Amino acid sequence: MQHVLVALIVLLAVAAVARRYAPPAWRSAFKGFAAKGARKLDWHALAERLEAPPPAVSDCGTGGCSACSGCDLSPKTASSGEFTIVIQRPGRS
Amino acid sequence: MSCCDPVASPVAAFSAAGRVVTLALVGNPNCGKTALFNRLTGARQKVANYAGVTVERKEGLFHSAGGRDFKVIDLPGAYSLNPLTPDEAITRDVLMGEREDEAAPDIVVLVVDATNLRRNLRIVLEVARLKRPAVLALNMMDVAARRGLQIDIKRLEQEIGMPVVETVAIRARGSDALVERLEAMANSVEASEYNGSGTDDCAVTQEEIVRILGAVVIQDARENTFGDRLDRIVLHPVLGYIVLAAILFTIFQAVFSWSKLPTDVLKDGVTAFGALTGAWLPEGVLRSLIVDGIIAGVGSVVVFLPQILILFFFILVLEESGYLPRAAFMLDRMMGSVGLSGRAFIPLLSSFACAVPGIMATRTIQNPRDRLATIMIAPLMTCSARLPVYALVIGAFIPETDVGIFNLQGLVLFALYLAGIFSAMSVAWVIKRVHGKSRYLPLMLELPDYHWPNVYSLALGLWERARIFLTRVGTIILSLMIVMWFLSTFPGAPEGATEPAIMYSFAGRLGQMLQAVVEPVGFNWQIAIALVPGLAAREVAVGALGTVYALSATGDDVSVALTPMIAETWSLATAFSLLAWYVFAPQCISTLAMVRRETNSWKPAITMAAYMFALAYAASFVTYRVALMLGGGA
Repeated sequence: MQHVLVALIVLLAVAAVARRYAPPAWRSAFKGFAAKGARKLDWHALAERLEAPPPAVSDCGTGGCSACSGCDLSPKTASSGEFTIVIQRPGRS
Repeated sequence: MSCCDPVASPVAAFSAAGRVVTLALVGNPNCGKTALFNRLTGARQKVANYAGVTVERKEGLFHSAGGRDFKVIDLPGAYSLNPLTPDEAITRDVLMGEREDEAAPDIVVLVVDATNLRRNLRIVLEVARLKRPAVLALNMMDVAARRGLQIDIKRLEQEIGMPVVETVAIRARGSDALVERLEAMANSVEASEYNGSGTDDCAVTQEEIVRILGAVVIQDARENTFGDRLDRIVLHPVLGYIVLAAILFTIFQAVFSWSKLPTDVLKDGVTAFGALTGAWLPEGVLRSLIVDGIIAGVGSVVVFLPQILILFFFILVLEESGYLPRAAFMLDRMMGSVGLSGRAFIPLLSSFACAVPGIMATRTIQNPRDRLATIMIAPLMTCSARLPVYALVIGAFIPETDVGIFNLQGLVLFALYLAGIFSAMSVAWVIKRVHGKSRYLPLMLELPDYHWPNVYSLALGLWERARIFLTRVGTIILSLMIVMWFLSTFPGAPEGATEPAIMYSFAGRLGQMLQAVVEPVGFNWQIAIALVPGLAAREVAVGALGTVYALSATGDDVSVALTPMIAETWSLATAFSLLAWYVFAPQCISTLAMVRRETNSWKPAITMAAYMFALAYAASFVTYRVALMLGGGA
């Protein structure tokens, strides 16, 4: 019984870590895989939940940020490219 | 809504009945827009007494007493609608309705610092030319009154062609008159249309401002205030540096000397809780997870809460007082000598809390080259996540003695912070040599009035810091510690094993593999293991050490006491080497992700990780070898 409980706790912890740090492509691939498995088992509600797009949430104050001083809560849009830094090599004078 | 909560529901759901009226808060930096935003929406966005705190748009909702629903957009401060920096461009784009994701606001709330109308009126006149529904919130009227400044409000309304409301955004009910005015205006905004132009002829606008000031200012503010007298000391070319050094020195002394009692209480509490839980739970894998994994791991991080709060107490006091821009002014020459813009000071200062907001704050820097240089060095400033590592090693190896009037542990901590600053300046200098110096832009910095820190704001700020820290401890650090425990426990030791079981685990094997890499810098396999989860966040390394040493221990009585454990097993050279590693420590995925986001390229993020790893390794190697030569190997 202890082993089952511990396995469950460890699995939850792994899921929490993966959710925070795994690249989005890995997460969506895993969710797709899990949803496929759920459909095979006729767990359609779970499959739909897994396939639903994630809500837009801020990761402010969670990852490395321990001093929130201004995190945008809005989802990223194409206009975020406006912050691209382009350095031009200085001409010789 | 706190700063970190997602918007709970779409705006459409906020108001089922009437249309939600969108307000945009626009004004110069440091005129009180975010304070007004917090006052209107009940949010807790960061407010400080210097320019450039808000660099992104933020939104909140409120329901007025008259039954109207408002969406408030807090915009970065801007001096004009002709943007010079990325954060000012956000303000212009939102105001002009040029954002893909944002309709133009229904009403513009122009927030103006009443004590500095001359500078604030430019953007007011530009917005007035847009002919959008607008209201002027004449903020900081309490400060204006204290200085004897008198403004003819009726005349000002006539001159700028919009209603003017007096506000004191930091006070309760300081915005009631504004809300009443907004309710009245909201009924007519449906008919409004954009039909003006914000284009600005600077000379003409300036003449207009002088004319308006002559008409509306009944009595000018008194000069030679307390702030002016204080500035003569604080900005003095010699005394100013002494004051700055004294302030920084006091902070690091206090971090150790003030925190002793609460830290000891927490440590004792964690140890007692671990022992109690260990005695109560039956022998087995669950007890090991809870005592050696969770309590030892999480407990060894949570005990540093008092030190973090003391550090933030001082940072918050300095932020509120108005001293920080003065410090930026004093350090401008030094920053310029290594090729940094004076505007880099605030982002670098923010990085003492965390590099993530520090990197975001670089948006206030106009020159792309300067901005990139600042981003590249921001993680070298000592963030609060390094504090638990420093405090752990200093607490274990530096005796708690006084050197004159100073605490030795505080002195070492101060030296580590100075090492971070020095290395950041050195890297900036190298970047200048490699990329060439950009065109010099003189530092134009607003020196705000001195304020006595507000006790409520301080308490709120500290509560937020504690909440963020404990949330991290209770979520991601807890999860990582559980994973760490699993990797350090399984597979178990084989029959007849003589070494501690952890040596045969996944983590133990990984640590032994990594030991070949880290041995030249004096790290043992336990440190090598701890550095890996420390990639997620630096302070996780402390928790990981707690778990690894707890599982290496033979008796339950030492299982959660990390400090004496490392004091017994590490040499002084190893301890100094680890401190040197953490001066540069590149392990922070969130920082690298933020660099990628802000530069729109992986190249700076990868370059940053590579150079910081190289510097960390080199610094640790030199420190370890020098310490060994000086007899620190015992």
